Amino acid sequence: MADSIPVILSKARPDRPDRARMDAQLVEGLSGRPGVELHVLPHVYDLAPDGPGVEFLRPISGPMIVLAWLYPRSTFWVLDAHGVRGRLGQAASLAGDEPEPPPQAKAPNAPDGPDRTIWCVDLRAHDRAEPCLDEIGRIVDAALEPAAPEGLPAGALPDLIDEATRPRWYPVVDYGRCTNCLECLNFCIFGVYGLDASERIVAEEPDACRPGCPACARICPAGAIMFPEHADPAIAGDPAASADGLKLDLSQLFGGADPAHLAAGERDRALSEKQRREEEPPGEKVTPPAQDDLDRLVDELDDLDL
Amino acid sequence: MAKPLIFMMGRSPAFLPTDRRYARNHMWAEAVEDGWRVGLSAYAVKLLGDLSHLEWSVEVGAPVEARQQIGFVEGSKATSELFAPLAGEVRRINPAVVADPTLLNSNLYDTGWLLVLSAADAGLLSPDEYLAHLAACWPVAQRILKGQAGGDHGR
Repeated sequence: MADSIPVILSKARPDRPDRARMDAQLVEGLSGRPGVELHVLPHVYDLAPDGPGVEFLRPISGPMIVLAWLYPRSTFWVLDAHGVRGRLGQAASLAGDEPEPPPQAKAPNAPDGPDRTIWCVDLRAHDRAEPCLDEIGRIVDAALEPAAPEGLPAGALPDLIDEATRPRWYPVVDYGRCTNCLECLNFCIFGVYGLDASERIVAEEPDACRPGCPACARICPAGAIMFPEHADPAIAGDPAASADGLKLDLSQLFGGADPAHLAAGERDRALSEKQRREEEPPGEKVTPPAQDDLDRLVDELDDLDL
Repeated sequence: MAKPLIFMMGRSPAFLPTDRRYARNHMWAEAVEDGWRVGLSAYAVKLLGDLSHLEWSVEVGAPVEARQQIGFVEGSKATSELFAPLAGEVRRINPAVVADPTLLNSNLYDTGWLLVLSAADAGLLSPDEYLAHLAACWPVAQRILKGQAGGDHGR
């Protein structure tokens, strides 16, 4: 058994100084801590596909702990998209706070990850560093068992992985849920999705995605598509919020649009924005799927001037 | 206080106090010294269910357009983005309801207020007018909701 475990701190985006304070406290609290090999990276969702951050993460073959400002499920599948795979470990189950989640029935599309645990900690779950550090301590103890922490060599100084990132926006697929139905491939008009060599859906051109457009996540029948930085927990990867599929969306009734219409609207707005920004002549006309009944209903709603 | 108006959502009554005005997007608005104090109507809260999450995408001091998306709310039955009922400036945000969104269920017309907007009374409805608006909205709302719950999105 190894005598230390890599702890990856995925820092907050630069526009969140409040979170940067906690990042700094975590670095201080974890530096030199026995059993901890601390590496500090920019926000894991923003890492470039073959940038220094991903190049650093990929060769790590054993268990690791990843601290990020995301749902653990989102962090895990973001790493998966970067080619960093394993089994998702969640610290809450160690604390006895929550019962161990029942093993999910394996979707036909789930990849066989390597036999190692990637422990994902959601830094948003705490408003102070101390409980986070306690949680990390419990994971280190569990991961390095049976070595007693006092028997471990002092940890090294933190290793800073430098990568110039900018905020990205792309779908992250939970292959534990994805059924490869290809609704997303058919729905997205930006060419984000494609099939890999084994005919499995992948976000082939993630950066072709339109920032702010979560339409494919709403359309996914399995609730398998996440946009980790979206405001709606169900879209950002909250497993509880999205377990039974997305909830009713009342935005149309409260002044916005209903999900299917909302999704098509979001997509179409993103398209027109793209066209405006690029000053392209309107190309091939994009016709949304026929939804006559729905359109009629929405027109009625518009007439009501909600 | 005068008896509230009642709108029947099927068998479930939504109470509408008569001491305030209403917006078409299912918010109530009450004149206070620094503008309009607004919150969700009982109709909106009943559609959302038990509230678990509320967040704002605007801050105090921000100017808002009418119908601008300003926040997001999640309940046990549904989620929704929140839209400004009036154009104006955000004067205050109720921290208590952000910390404990269940105030929207337990005390929606008082301590469960959402924010204060400085704004003119542009297009607010009287309780009677809002009741009529609900009567007009309800059949379409029901069909939309059934369409969504059915999961076929009309296709």
